[in-house]
Amino acid sequence: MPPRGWYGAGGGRVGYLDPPTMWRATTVQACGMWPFAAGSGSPMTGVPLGQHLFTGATVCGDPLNWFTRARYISNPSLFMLGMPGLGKSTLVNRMLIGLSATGVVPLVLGDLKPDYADTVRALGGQVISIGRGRGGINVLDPGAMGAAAARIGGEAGEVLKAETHGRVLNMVAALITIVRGRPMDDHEQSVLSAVLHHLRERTPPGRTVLLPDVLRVLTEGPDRVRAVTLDRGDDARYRDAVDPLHRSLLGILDGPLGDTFASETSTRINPDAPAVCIDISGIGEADTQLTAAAMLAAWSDGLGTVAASHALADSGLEPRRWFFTVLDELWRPLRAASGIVDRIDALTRLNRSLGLGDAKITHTLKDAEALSSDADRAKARGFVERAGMVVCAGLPKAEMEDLGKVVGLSRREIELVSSWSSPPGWGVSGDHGEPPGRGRFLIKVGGRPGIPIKVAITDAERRLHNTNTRWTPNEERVERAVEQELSHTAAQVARAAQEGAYATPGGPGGPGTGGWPA
Amino acid sequence: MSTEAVTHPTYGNWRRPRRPGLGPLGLVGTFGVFGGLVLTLLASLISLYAAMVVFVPIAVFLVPLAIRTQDGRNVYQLIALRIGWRRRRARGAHLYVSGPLSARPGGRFRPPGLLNKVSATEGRDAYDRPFGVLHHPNRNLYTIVLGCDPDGGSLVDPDQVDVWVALWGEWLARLSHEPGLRGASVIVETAPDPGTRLAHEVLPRIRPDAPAAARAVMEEVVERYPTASSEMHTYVSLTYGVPAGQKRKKEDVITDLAIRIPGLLSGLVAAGGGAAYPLSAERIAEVVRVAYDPAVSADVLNARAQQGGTGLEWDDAGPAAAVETVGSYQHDSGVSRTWLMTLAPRGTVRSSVLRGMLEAAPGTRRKRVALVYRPIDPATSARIVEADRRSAQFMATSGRGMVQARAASEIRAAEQTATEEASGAGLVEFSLMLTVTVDTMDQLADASVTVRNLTAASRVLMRPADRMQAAAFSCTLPAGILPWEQTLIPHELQEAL
Repeated sequence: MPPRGWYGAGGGRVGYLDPPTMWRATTVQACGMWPFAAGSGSPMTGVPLGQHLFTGATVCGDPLNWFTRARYISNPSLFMLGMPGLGKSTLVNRMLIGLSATGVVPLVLGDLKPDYADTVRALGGQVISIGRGRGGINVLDPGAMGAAAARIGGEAGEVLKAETHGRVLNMVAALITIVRGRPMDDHEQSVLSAVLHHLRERTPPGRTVLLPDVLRVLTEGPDRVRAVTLDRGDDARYRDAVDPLHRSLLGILDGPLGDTFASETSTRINPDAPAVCIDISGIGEADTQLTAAAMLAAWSDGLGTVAASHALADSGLEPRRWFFTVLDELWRPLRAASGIVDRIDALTRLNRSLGLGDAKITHTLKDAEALSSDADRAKARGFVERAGMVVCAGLPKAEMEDLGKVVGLSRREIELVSSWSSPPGWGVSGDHGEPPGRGRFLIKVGGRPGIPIKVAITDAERRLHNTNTRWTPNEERVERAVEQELSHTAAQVARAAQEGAYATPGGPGGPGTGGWPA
Repeated sequence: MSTEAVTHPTYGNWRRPRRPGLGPLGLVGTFGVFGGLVLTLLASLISLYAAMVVFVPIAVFLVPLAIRTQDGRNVYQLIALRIGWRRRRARGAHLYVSGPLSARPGGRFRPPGLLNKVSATEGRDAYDRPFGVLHHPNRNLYTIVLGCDPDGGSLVDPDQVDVWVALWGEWLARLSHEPGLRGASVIVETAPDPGTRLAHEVLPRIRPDAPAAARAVMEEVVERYPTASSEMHTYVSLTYGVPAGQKRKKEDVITDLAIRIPGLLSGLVAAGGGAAYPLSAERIAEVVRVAYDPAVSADVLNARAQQGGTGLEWDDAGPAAAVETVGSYQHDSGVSRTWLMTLAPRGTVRSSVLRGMLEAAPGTRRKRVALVYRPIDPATSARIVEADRRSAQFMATSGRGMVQARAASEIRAAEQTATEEASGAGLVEFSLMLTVTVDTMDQLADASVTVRNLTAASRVLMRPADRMQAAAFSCTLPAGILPWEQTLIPHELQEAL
């Protein structure tokens, strides 16, 4: 076989080459002809999200697939920040749908809007409503974990029982923290722990413990509980030790949280459902304590379900299922009381992270700044630092600077994302102006350059999010805005009338509000 | 934008290796001139007529040596190329037919031309990944191919890019210390996405018991999302030679290469290459096969997604038929044209100078940009640098009175190069080739305009590789063909001419 091709017709023999001109340079200059100046493309592993803003290539990604298959991230978690109304829930909904198609169970724990209930319904999942008169959660109910522990039995069952105990204790402590507005003391925690142990031993199987039972035990004061208070046989000392706790528990029962947390759980999470959404949209916006408590209870319950499912899978009783939890409006409970950060920290660390991807969603990092103590602020930032994927929708420049300190953003990324948070024009032409950043996100993973994407929504999703004003013409939005405006004015008027100040001219619905096309 | 003044490094100061001798004549021409003058003088002692008889043939021989194109080729080289092309066409060698019905031994579809003696084997690197080794028997060269996925510099801060570029320089400097390395090339290939990747990613993973709504949305996404994106692949091929006079077994060479791969990969990653990995023999064969037959790119992806591989062998990576013309190369389902660089970007450039050229170009089926590097070993580079300095000094001081501006800048450039070399930079020769593949002959004209625009944006000057399209095409494949090794006269002598 000759070099340079076979001889003869059809042999494809090539001639000698006049080579391209070779140029000579030192390597510190020749490297200026940098061959990697154009990007190679975008990750194609996971749920298809949208198109790359610059190249138009389809970008796929979600925390679970990027953790298990692509190995881009070291833990399957996502943290999303962005101004309201830019489509954060649309992107998360897409991930829920895509993951559910591959057999992952989405758990939306605490849906305030509701943004996800429709999606979960469409997926044939379970939607649990919580709120005054809608449904409650019994925080002492060991739930799926308790059931799983009973089923597994043996040593593994005991381990799971202990874990369940920790979870319940953490949740009650969180409720007390919310009511008090400050963290619980350590000795109170040990009292509470002793009470719960006592109750668990005394309760016949098949019956759940309720919060009033805890009060009963505190009043009785069995030896086990007395022992941790160091009462030395003196009843007065015992009462001194447990009274603050007693008061706080009474505050929960008779206060704003009572009817939601004092009775039996109205609907338990079905661990076999294809998707679960705990809808807390029935709780009013202003009801911060109840919102925070309901969210925490939902998180605790949902994560407990995940732990139970995995414990069952470990013992070979059930097939392994993966979960994807959505924790929306992360800062709501954080702001409810100081010390809650620790509770959330404990909650998210208590879960066995195997097979659980989670998405934490919030508006801005400023929410973390609003926390009272430095330690809390640092921990809250830790949520962002620990996240495998950070997704930013439009954020103002100052916010991006702050975020850049935590996740490392380049100047260009900051410019790009802050340009998405700029408002739309006034839209004189008549068609509704969209905010420039709607549906645009920057995905950051570790120190890699971010991936800017634009989410394109499908018709099927559009039908699904019918309530979602985001993708429908904006008459509804205007209506809603008017309603809010009116109720706001009404509230102002009422307040002013109460205070005996000047009533604002043009009452609710009066001519003063102008002729809105309602 | 911020108002702070930021200095960004610029790059430049590349020069064509100086030809020895007087002006455009080259060494041979210079000897010819002096020898001719001596002979003419001697003959003029006999008679003026004799002097003319001696002088005219010598002048006729020398003038074509002195007439050179922009990229320094003299008339003899141009003539040789044309004669070679005419002869090949007359013999029908510009055609290539392979497969069972052809005269090719074994009835395989071997890659043609410069690649027809190449054989592929496979080794295992330190992480037990298979890597393909192409063996070029006539010069006893071995080629390995690495792949990488750079992130690009679009959303990265300039200072990060500068770090990457500096580390790319380190990687190039390292090449001159690689024992036995003859040359390297970086090939960036772009092509429209066949649109099957998304379907392969999504559809097989939908569970049979998935909720109907989820299935509907995912199917709609696969159907509706535009496929107008492009794929980009970056390959780095490294060609090693066995030192002359040594007999080494193939296995020993492959073992030797396996040890070097991890270090080379980590250098690429540091230089902004993203994830880097060695290419198996099958992957190399696939890349070559798709380059010769762009229509099968979707099938190759399908086979890889569904069966985990194509099972393609190097002996079947070539086209079934190919026709070489003066300005194009037709192969299976594509028509290609290759350009060669004549002038590197003049003046100083930023590191993003090649970006426009590397990015996907609309209206092309496939496009490959190949940067070829010829490392110069440290001892030679020190000598070259010093010689350049001396000649620059000489040129500047030989003119009486005013020092010409050009000579002064020449001195500065030579001094800077010497300083950089002394402080540890290597010396490298580089060039650039570009191949564009389209579907039909009539699209080639548009593609040529596109390429002209791209090269103008990147400030390089290129000429089409006319009358050698087939050979140039195989130089831009990641198969380790070094263009300067394929000349009629060995390139060491070439520089003297």
